[in-house]
Amino acid sequence: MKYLPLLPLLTRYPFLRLSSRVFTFDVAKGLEASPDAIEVAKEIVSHAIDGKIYRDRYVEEADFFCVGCDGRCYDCSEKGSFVNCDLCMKCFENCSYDYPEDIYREWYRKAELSLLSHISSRMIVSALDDWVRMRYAVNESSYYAELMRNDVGLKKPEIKKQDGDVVLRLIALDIGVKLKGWDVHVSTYVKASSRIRDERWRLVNRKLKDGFVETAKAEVIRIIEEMLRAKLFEKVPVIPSIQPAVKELSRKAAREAKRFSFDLGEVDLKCLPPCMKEILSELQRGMNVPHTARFALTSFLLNIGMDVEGIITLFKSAPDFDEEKTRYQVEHIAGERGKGSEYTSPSCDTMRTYQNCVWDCGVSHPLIYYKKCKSKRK
Amino acid sequence: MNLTKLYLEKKFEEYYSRNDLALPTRYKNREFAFVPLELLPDFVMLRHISFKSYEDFKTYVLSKVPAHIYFSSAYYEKPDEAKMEDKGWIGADLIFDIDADHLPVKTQSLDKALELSKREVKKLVAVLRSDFGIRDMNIYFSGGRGYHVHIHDDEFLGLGSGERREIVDYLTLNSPKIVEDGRLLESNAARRVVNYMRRKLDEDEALSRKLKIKPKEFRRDRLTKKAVKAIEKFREEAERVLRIHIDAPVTADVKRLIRLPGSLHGKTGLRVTEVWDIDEFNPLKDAVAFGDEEVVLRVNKRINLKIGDMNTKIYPGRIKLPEYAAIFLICRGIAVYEGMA
Repeated sequence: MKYLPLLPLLTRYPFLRLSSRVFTFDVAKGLEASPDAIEVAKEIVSHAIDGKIYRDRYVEEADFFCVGCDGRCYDCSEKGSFVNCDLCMKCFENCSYDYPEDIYREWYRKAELSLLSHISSRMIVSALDDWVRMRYAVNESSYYAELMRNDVGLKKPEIKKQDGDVVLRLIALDIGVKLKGWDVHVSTYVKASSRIRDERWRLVNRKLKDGFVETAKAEVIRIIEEMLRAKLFEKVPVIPSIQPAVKELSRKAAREAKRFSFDLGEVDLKCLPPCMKEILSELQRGMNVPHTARFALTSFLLNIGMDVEGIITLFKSAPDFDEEKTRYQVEHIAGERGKGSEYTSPSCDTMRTYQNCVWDCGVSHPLIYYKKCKSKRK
Repeated sequence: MNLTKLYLEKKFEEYYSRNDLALPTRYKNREFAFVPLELLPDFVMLRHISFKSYEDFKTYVLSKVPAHIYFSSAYYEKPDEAKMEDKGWIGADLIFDIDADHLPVKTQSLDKALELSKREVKKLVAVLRSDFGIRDMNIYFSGGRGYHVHIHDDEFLGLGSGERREIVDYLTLNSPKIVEDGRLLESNAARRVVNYMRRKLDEDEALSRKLKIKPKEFRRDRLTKKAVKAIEKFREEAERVLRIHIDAPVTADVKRLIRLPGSLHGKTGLRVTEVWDIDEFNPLKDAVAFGDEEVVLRVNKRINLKIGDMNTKIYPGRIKLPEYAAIFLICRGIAVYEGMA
């Protein structure tokens, strides 16, 4: 039966790109016919705004049939392992497995509904503020990662699914994680590791051979989670029929936003992190400071609310101070000249790469150090 | 316009009319940038230029003879848009820049600087092959004081800046963890540091005394407290030796402009030259782009001239030199043109 083994899988993991190969439908019409789907979508987003995960969604626990099936549906080099698979879909199209028609229909319907609610939840967050979409992406990817950990028995070995590993490989393939065994290709690995703030994940602390980073299964899931997060943070085009849901949830989001807004207040140079203090003192002593460090300090000072004049005054004590040049550079970073783009000061990772980091402060961004210090001094 | 500049412009034009440059892959999606020779010593960069065909490129170069030609490592939907955010970034080659000016050992001599750069290139290429599994790469002499390594591999095209910085940190051995909970970390960096240390301990008894550990006592599989202490003492030195000195911002920048292979470096007159065999390559011979017809110069500084077949001391005053050496000195600002011999 066409696509049969995929249906339970797509119900559980509707974000898979595969789903667009199985289903083609008009989202607006689909939602009209199944108002339930948008209700689930609304719950998902509403929970995300609160920083929670909504679990009561369409699921189907049935196994991935291809594991343990002897049918030769398509001439693949290694059946079920997805080695060298380009997701041509031929095997799934030619599926010869027989199953009761009514169950097949029910599964088809469930997968369709799951996909509909997934798509509409993405549309809703695309119409809301960035921070909602960010929370949504974080929560959704962690929800799916948990499912995957369950499937492969990392959570509780006794409920490991027989097909868990195969399903994980299929998901990895779909989302673009290049695997050799459970090792991940370095080009995929850095996409995830550059977003994970943990020493153990830095490429420099890894075993790397022939383009593949040695990783364990649990880490593969973590990598998929990071890639999924990035993917779900992308905006999608919005259709008019979800507007009522957007309106309702934007009110809720506005209430939530009020709770965490804060003001950096007056500039307080005593709260500069060690790296910025170091660069400033080097500048004031007239030392030759690399461009990356000048940029870091200037953008940092702008970020904490200092104005161009204030920064120039600060740099004035340097013995080699050149007002015109300094003004040009500061204004460029401030965005008054340049192209109107203001920069955020570099993260700790970036500071480290350019050897501008001088201390392990236990934060991920110099601005966080500053914020923490300010709130302590209040 | 002065005579020296006219001469240089004529020579550069001759070079570009006689030689056909191989434009980089997907050149239609790349931005080009030129520094016109005519406006020197002002370094004016004309940017956001793109070409639909090789003929367009050649016509442009011959109409405004450039002292420097650059192209973007990035591919864009619209490479000629003036604002970076309007260009539509598609992807970028992975680029490594090794420049003598960024090496820990500083030297005035170009010859020596290039020798040091070459050593780093060999280290880089070895690690890119063995660890990153990269087979397809091009090495170029920059025409100045270093080398560029270009990787066009599709796997790396889409990487953003933060992702490329992970690669930079790996290559530059940027603060790796070596020991964790009294055990050696399972990483290439830790292995390299410890292997190096082991070798040094075997070779150098003084080091063994300084670190208070005998080679026999230093076992990777069972690190003693003594060994951990020795590692902490020695790691900085090991990392300095093992680090590959690439210019980090170049690799992390996904919109970098780099010298076009086959073009001339306006500060040396040498050609940006592809290197096929790094051991055999001699930049000061193999990148020479001009002939040996004699030219009269006025030299303003005493230097050791080593280029092409020449290896000699030059003193201030009038001198007859082959064209390639003359152009080299003019570009470096050491001599002015006085006429044909």
